[in-house]
This record gives sequence, structure tokens and C-alpha cells, in this order.
Amino acid sequence: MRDAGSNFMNGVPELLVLRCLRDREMYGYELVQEIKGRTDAVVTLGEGVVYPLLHALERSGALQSRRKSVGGRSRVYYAMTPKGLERLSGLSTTWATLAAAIGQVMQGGDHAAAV
Amino acid sequence: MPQPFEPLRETLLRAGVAPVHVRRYLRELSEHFADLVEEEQAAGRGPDAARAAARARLGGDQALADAMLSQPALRSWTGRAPWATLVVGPILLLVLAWSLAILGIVLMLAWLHHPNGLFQPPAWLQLAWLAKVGPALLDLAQVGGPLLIVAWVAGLGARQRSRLIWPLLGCVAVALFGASLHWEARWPAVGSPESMLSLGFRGLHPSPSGGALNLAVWSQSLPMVFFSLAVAGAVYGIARFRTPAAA
Repeated sequence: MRDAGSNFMNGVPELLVLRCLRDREMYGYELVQEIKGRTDAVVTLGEGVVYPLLHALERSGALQSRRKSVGGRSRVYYAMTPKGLERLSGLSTTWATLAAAIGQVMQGGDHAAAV
Repeated sequence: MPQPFEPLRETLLRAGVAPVHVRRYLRELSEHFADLVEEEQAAGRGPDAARAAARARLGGDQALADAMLSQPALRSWTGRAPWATLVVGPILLLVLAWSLAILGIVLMLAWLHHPNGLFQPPAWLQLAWLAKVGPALLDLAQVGGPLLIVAWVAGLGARQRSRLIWPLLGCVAVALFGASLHWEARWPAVGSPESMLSLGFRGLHPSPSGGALNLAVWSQSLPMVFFSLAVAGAVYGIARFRTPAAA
């Protein structure tokens, strides 16, 4: 499942980004490595394409950013906002329902609940 | 050192992405690139190989551009509706500037007429000095307003890489509209306390042939139109061909 651009992965990068940023603020490179590490490299976001998603989430109010100097290098750190927490909650619920429904189909169940 | 993301800047600006997001994206990509090079070198690659690997990990220019273009919220208003920001908006801005100037002049004339009324001037303010500010404000609104606005339109169009037609249309419209307006004011003076402010379009006088538009009178506006367009052209050229890093 490395192809983050496939239709099946729609919404997954946003979910993973929000979930990682729930714990602490991070900059882009750090965030990509975190996702790679937490998914055992099963999900690898295109390293450069994470920024438009971060900008869009910030614009929608789900994230906020600040420039911070660490170790002599300046970075843009992203952090979750209350609106982002709400968004993460909604996406998590949708994902859990979808995963359960797919699991049910894969195990041969009759009908899955509507997402 | 060559800037690896400069072609991406042009692609994004031409596609209508807001310059503020383009600048930040490129800066973040450069910082990310530096981190990746460091990581690759720490893994044992030589400098050139590390740079090549880092560039490959970031993604190709097309993928990086597509990711940005897939976020409609990051597009500028100039990218979404150039007719609004570069043509209609500037004309409305000029009308607003003129309205404020007229309001200021009317208030000033009222004050000059009734210096002992509601708005009493402070002792240090001489009415004679105030009477000089009025004509200056009028000149500023009449000449400076359209000039400032065409310069702004040209600069905006160039920075955001709009199709030339939009800033050109906006500048021509503002220059024509601005130069066609004719202001006249008579300020109160010693022995002649009356004041007057009139506003109209040049050329809207009966012509010798009987038409409503007198082109001979209107043509007096042309030098101002050409001057405004020359200023716009200069600003466009400077903004368009300035070094990308400063754009």
C-alpha cells in the first residue's frame, strides 16, 4: 500500500497527519519520518507532497504553524487546533466504520453498515 | 548553487497558486531537501549521490506541482477570478478613493465656511494653510489615485504571473476612467467666500457637430492615459523580471 495517490488512499494522508500532530507539534520532514516509522513504512507519503496538505489544513483552521529555530536551523512547526481535533475525530470514526465494513466483507459477512 | 525548485515556482504561479503559499512551499521543500541530503550522507552516500537521492525522495516537479494544485483553497483570488481582482476591483477602488477624496474636500469646504461652527480648528492651524491642502488633495485624487492603482494592478499581475490580458485590461480601464474625470474646485478666499466643487467627465459637452461626446475635449485626457500606461508598463517590467528569490 505504498501508492499514496491511489483512490483507495483518499483521505488517509490527512488522517495520519492529524493523528501524528495530535501528540506534538512537528515540522514536515519530521512528520513524514514519523508516519513512515509508525506504519512500519507500509504507508510512505511523497515527502514533498505533504506540504500542500499541511497548508490546506492550516488554511481550514485545523492546524496552526509557527517558525522556530532548532539547532541553528529555522523550521515551520505545525500544531493541532481544537478544530483539527474535531476533524480528526470525524475522520477517525469514518475510517473505523469503513475498516470494520471491509473487514466484514473480507471475512464473508452478509451486510455491512452504511458509512 | 542552482535553485532546484525555481521551475516549480513558475509553474505554480502561472497556475494561480497564491504567492504566499508558493514562497512557503519552496522554502519548506528546500529545508526538507537539506534534511534528506544530511540523512543520505549519514547513510554513507557521497555529496552528489546524496543530493540525487534526496531529490528523488522529495518527488518530481510534476508530482510536487500536482499536490499543490489539488488544493483549491491555496489558489489566489487573482488566480480564481482575474477579471474581478485586476479589472473590476481596481475600478471600484478608484471610485472608492474618489468618494473619500470628495468627502474630505466637502468637509474641508464646510469647515472653511464655518470655522466657528461644530468643527473648530485648533489655534495653531491657519485657515490659509488649510486652503492650500484642499487643492493638493484634489490633485492627489485626480492624478495620483489612478497612477497608484494602475501601478498596483501591474505589480499584482506580474507577481502572480497572470495572463497579460487581465492587468492590461485593468490598467487601460483605470487609466481611461481616471483621466476622463474632470474635477474643478473654487476655494474660499479673502473677499470671495464662496466655494464650489464640480465633478464630471471630459468630453461630455455638446460637440460642434451636435453629438453628446466632444472628442476634441476628451482628447485632452490622452497624455494622462499614456503616462499612466507607461508607469504601469514600467512597474510590470520591474516586478516581472525581478530575481525570483525576491518575488
